[in-house]
Amino acid sequence: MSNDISRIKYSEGILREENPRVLMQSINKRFGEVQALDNASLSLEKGEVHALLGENGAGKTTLMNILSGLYVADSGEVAIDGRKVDIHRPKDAADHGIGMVHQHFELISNFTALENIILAAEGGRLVIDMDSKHKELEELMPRFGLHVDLDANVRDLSVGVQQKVEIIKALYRGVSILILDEPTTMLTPQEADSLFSVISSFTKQGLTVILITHKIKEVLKVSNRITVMRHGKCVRTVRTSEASEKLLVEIMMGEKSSYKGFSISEKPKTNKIKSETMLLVEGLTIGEPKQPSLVENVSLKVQNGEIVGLVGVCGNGQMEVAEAIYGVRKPNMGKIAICGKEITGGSVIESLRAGAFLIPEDRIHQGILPNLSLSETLILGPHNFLFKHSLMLNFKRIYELGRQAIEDYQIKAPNERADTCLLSGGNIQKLIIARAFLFSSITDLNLLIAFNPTNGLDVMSAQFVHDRLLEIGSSGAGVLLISEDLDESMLLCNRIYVFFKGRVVGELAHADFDPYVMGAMMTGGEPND
Amino acid sequence: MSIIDFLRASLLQGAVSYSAPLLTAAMGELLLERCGMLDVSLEGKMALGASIGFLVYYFTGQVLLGLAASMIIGAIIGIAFGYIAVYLKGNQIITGMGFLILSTGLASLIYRLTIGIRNVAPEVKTLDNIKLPLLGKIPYLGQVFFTQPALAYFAYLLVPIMIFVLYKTPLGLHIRACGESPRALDTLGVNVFKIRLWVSAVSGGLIALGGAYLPMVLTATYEDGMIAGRGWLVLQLVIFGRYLPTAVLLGSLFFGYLESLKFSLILLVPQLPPQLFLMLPYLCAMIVLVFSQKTYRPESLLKPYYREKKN
Amino acid sequence: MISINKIKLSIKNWINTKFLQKNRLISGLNGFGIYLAAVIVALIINSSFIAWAGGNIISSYETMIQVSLGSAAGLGQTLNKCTPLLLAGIAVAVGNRGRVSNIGSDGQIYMGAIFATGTGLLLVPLNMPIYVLSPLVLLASIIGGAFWCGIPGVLKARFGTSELFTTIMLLFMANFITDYFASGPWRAPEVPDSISRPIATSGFLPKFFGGAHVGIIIAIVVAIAIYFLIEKSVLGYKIRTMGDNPDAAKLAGINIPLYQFGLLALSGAIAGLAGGIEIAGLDHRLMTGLSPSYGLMAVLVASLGKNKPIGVIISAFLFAILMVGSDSLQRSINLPSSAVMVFQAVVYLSILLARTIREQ
Repeated sequence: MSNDISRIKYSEGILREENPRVLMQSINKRFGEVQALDNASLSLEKGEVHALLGENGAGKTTLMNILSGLYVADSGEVAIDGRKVDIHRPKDAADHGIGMVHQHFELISNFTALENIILAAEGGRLVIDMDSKHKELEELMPRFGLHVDLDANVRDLSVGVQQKVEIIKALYRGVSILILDEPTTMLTPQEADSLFSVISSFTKQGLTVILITHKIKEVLKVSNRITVMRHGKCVRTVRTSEASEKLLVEIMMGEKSSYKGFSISEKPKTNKIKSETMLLVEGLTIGEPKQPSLVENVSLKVQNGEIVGLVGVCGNGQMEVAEAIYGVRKPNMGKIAICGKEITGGSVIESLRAGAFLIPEDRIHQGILPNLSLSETLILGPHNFLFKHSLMLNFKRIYELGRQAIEDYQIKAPNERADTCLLSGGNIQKLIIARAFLFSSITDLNLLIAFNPTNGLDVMSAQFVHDRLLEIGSSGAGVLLISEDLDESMLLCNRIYVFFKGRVVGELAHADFDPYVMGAMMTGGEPND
Repeated sequence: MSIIDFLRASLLQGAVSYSAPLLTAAMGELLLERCGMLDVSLEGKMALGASIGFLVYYFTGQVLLGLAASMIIGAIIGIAFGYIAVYLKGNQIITGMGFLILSTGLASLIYRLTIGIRNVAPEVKTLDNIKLPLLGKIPYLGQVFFTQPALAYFAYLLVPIMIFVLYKTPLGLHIRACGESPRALDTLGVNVFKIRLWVSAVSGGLIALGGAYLPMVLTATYEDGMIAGRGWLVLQLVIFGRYLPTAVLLGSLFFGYLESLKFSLILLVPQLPPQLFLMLPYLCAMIVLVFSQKTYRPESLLKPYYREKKN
Repeated sequence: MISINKIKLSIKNWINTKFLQKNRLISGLNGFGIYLAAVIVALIINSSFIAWAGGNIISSYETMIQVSLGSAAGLGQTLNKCTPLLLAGIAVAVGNRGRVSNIGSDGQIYMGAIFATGTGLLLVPLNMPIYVLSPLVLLASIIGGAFWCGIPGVLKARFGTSELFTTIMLLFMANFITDYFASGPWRAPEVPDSISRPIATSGFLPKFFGGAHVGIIIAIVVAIAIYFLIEKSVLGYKIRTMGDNPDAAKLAGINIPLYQFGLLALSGAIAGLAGGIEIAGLDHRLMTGLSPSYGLMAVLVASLGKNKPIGVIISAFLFAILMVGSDSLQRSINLPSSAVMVFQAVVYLSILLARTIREQ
């Protein structure tokens, strides 16, 4: 392929004479059966903020992983400043000034911030001179408007600060092409704004920044140009000044979505109105020797048919409250009751018997049995009620249930005996939802706890999950939704409790939902306008 | 029986001497575990080190050759294990068990095939105690700490070397990073696989050296089963030492002391069956282990690193 | 009512899951090649040791097969050696299914043997007819093994202590306790070593052809029972989930510490039975060295057999052949007894390597 890139057309009417900073041409990448990247091409200019927009699974991260050397493309070429380069390993990318801050940080939590930043860039000496490195960084950080406590252990730092450490790490290596993968996932709205202003200052210094995201609003706020990806292809590149939300959604979704409603053969049992209050939590206090105030005097309520959200920055007590309700954690003080039946300090099986069911946060590590058949994964949990009076399993029934679930939820799997690990993320979540419905059909489902249920799912699967949650709510059960996605919580919930440092600092009804108000509460500040 | 009996200089001198093989092997395993791998075949490596070291020393008369031979064989087994664990991503516990039986069997087999059948077990001249010039003259402490065979001094020197390497050099930072999060290190362009393989080799050499200590310093002969669980003990030592060289040193001293003590106790308390005292180190190890479960562990211990991870 | 259609459907399903998932058919054929290579490598390495000992390779292998399988007496010996390997292998395998590693099962074998010997010696004055009280002796060994592995079980459940270490420490301790009893209170006066007096004949196990005792039948029955327990029962389902994903199992209401304890106790019970059968069926006396590291070999046997009873049976039989065969070589070409460990480890590592490469 010739280096004469002036012959290449990219983006209507934007033909430049200088070479683009980065040119990726016809990149292909396949993982087993999945074609993750299909002839993808991308060009980036110097000093711009370029957004890579697309839903989960479109190929954005894969494409950037190839640019940063973590993956190797099956075919295609990359050129930097007009010259073709071979990037086979992260080191090659680093040599060309490319650095990536991943969605899940590549930080070592047991090291200090300083150790993380200088890792693999210590200089060639035999001994590391920590003091001089310290000084170097104290001079570097203000240049980019950043500041972190270099001697703090990363595990003690908040997510927003950890992200800054990652960015400083890249800057310390003289990165000139910075890739940020879904940077605002775990940030409050205020922290996200702070990040964007930092990004603007980067580009003023000549850095090229690539922003991988699925959030349209963000893209419109901070980028110069936007490339939309879909099914592994770079579909279109537009200038942000010429783009709108409607246009971007159209490009992202392509043909009208083929999502229709699903009909389920076994509807959840309509909850006989035993009590109005599905979940009652009073004065819940949880503390550990090293962390005395994980949860402080929390009280909350979920009524019949409500979807209630627990919202807050990760680590402010929402998870511990859910763990206490589900029986995974024993509270120090307080009372928890499901449908009037007290289960404080009980075990998981007691919560299950009281009618609580969990959709876990990490569906793979907490939800499935990878090497057992998907039917056996399906019954995990309901098994306590399916085989109550027999010693032996009834495999006929198990596989029957598996077949039914595959059909009802359109789960993509070879058959009901296939190993669970073969399923894709979206299908796994469908299986887990099927499990919740199975549970509700053989025993009372009074409270469904859903923990980041659409994490990493594509739009169709996420919509499916949302519909099912609404369905469960409308059948009379209560739903407790713990999500880091504020938009999702605002979409689904009737009420939201906002958490900060283990306390409930606010309770809002649907009509009063405001992301900035909640963002302020989540970080302990006053809502500013 | 009074407190003085427990603090006799010769007893403590023996403690320091008995602790040296534990310490050497423990430094090797500490390095390995800090890098994210765990080798259960310690017992076998030490046996093999003892066997090969003894044989080479016996046939050549050169102590250094024997020690070198044991380190080389340990490094070879270490590389084999490392290759399977790092490049082939094999399960380290299962593979380690295979190497355990292989090394234990080889140690005995090679010895017997080489020595053949004899009436009297072959012996070597054990290393003499070297009394250090000035320090050896200090009363009590001089005898305990500074009148030891050369290998013991080497073992103790390993501790500051290990501390220096792990905490003050870039290599040490990389090794520790490998144990915490190899992916983080890989994305920064460092070859994680090579580091783990080299550490495997060095660690194997040190562990085998620890085994060689036993025939060369303590018993003068080789016997099947002479390692007597020390390898397993070292595995636990690294855990209750919280992966810190200094703590591991103290732990080794403690168990060296127990070993030194048990012979005295058997003599002092003839009413009780000797087996009771022989069990003492193992019982103590178990008790200490129970109370050190919630300690720090390198985050990526035992996890093989896959660069292209999809689900 | 079994209809032809149902049979066809289930065969189709089986083919689907075994071969047509992820191109398993292709990798099935490739796999055969790799395993063949592994076996050849193992043969070459093992042969080199035979050659070092001065034996003729071909005739040595002939001897090994001839002695272990070629005669009734030889087959009997092989079955006798297979029995403790099989039981210990099942013990380790059942633990592995639930993700507990009973590496020190030798300790439970010895403790089972101690309990069996104690019971057997107690029965001597009763003067009952032969074989009548053997169930009692075996029961004692089961209790002994369950007790000795129950201790690590409690430590794991209560404190989270790794059973990998505790079972090994208890193994060394069991060795000493065996030595104490065999050379002390139970010592056979006519023998200078630490060997105990024989147990009552009412505690013996009957033999059938070729000197094999019925222990092998007991072992196979246990293997079959464990199969049904693990694969087909509700309890087995819980154990399997605990082994496959303990976090998910916990969230499904399974009381992990309790099950870990129970599983370790079960594993110990089975290993203890192995020890009891050695006493009742073979040696009739307690002695140090009763178990030539059957427990360690069992770890390999379980892993080779992929922790499933049928695989364990085959691996145990194979290892037993190696043991009996190597014994005969010890007599004919003075091959040291430790060669058997090397042979087993080489076979094990080659097959493990083949498996690991296949999973790439």
